[in-house]
Amino acid sequence: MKERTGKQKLMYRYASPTQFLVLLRRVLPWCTGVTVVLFALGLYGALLAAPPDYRQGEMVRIMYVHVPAAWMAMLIYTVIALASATALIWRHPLADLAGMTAAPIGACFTFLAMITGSLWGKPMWGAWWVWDARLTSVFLLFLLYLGYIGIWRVIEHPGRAARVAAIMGLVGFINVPVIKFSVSWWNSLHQPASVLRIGGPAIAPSMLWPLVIMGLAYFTLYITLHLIAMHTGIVNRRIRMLELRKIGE
Amino acid sequence: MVFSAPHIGFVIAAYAATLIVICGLVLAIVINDRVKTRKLTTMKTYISARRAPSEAGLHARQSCRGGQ
Amino acid sequence: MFTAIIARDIRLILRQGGGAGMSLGFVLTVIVMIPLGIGPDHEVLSQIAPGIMWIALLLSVLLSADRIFRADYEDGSLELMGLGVLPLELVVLAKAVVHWLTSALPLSLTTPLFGIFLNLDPSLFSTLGLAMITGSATLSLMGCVGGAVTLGLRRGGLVISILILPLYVPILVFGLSASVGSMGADHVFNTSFLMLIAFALASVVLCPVAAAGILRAHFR
Repeated sequence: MKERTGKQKLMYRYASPTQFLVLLRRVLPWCTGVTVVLFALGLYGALLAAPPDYRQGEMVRIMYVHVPAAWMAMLIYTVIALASATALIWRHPLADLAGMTAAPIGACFTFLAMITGSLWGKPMWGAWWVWDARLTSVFLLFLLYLGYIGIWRVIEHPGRAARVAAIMGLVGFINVPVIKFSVSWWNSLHQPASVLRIGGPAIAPSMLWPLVIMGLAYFTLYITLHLIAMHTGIVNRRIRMLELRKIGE
Repeated sequence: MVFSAPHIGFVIAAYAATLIVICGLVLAIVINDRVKTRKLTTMKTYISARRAPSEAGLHARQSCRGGQ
Repeated sequence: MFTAIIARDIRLILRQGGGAGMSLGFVLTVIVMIPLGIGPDHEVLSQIAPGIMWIALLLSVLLSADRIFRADYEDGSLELMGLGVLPLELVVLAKAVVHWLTSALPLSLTTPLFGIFLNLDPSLFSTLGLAMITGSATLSLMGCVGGAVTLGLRRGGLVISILILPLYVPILVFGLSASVGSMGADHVFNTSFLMLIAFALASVVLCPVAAAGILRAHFR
């Protein structure tokens, strides 16, 4: 038998759902615990320890829930793109499931990024929704998520839905930098004034560490939720297999 | 955090929205997981009971006797 | 084989009464409704005119994207074409060319004329037309991708729109700035046009590949 490289061994080891579930059972309690701790620390930092901004006052505290949400929105779409590529190139059996389960989580974070962005923008710029480069890009990312989820829901045959979703996931991912470039181009044409940047020209260390902690907290939350959703997905597949077998009997 | 600062309502609203959405997401995922896992175990028990009815009947009789 | 597909499709469409008919009607509707909805103020209308016309173009191309593959898919001939001599990617490209010739191109030529209704600045007619023609190829190609996704589905309409919209945004942004760029700085004009051409070239390569992959998923 051909000797497999280390990376291949790792990938094929978790190709079997059963092995993956074993890993999950070991890792999940840790993830949940770390998430809770990080959130406790992060919220303390964001709400109590961090100083108010000299220009925006207490408003700047929204940054600690807005920016990590936006980070996760981007990260999770990247995960979907990687899962799609893995599904198309290596046909890893869990790759489709990874993309499908990540999408609703990513859509929620994107939605949160929009809402908190809006709540930050209203006192800043006076309008609930501002068509600045960042918010517009986030909105379009939200549409990409909705489209991806839509494919899974609209196409009935799961295998077909998986392939189409994988392709459109990659198409959307390639499109993200194009969208960002177009939107900031469009914005620079129409908005002569510069948009307020987060916390001023550079973030002070006292504001940076709560942001980083919150970012990590959001990240571990995502990992925890994604693992649980993967578990549900594998369970669903087994249910469907048993149902098909029952019909066959 | 000073609660009398201007626009503090927006900050509170932002954190409240975050809390609601995150809790909703967590609940949806965890509850869905529990429901599906329970459905799977029920199906498995049903199938194994159908495959070995005599053993299942024996178990049932034993547990009934234990309940008296 | 490539030209054969194009010729056959064009003949079919002409026989059915022209592909751009419904799309043209849609453009006309949008362009007439806008002044009725916004008010006849000449200043306002001439400001928003290029944007409205680009939007009308995008939406009507989006509408007609559904039928690119539908007829051939439903009677099974699309699958046969995929198994033939020509790779499926080139079949998709052929269909995109047909769609462009019968839908996107005619629309991009006639939509600027409707600028009269919106008090479009006379100096913009030519740049608008040129920008639209340059962008129209990309629109057809992206329409192919969208049309491929929801093949054979009844309730696919909303998903197509949601999927295609983020793809169309860069075209809209650069098409618009190419159309009005002649009034502003020259480099804006040049950059936008170059971007439109770049999009067209990239789409010619990427869209058939993506659409063919999606079609193959449907054939399983």
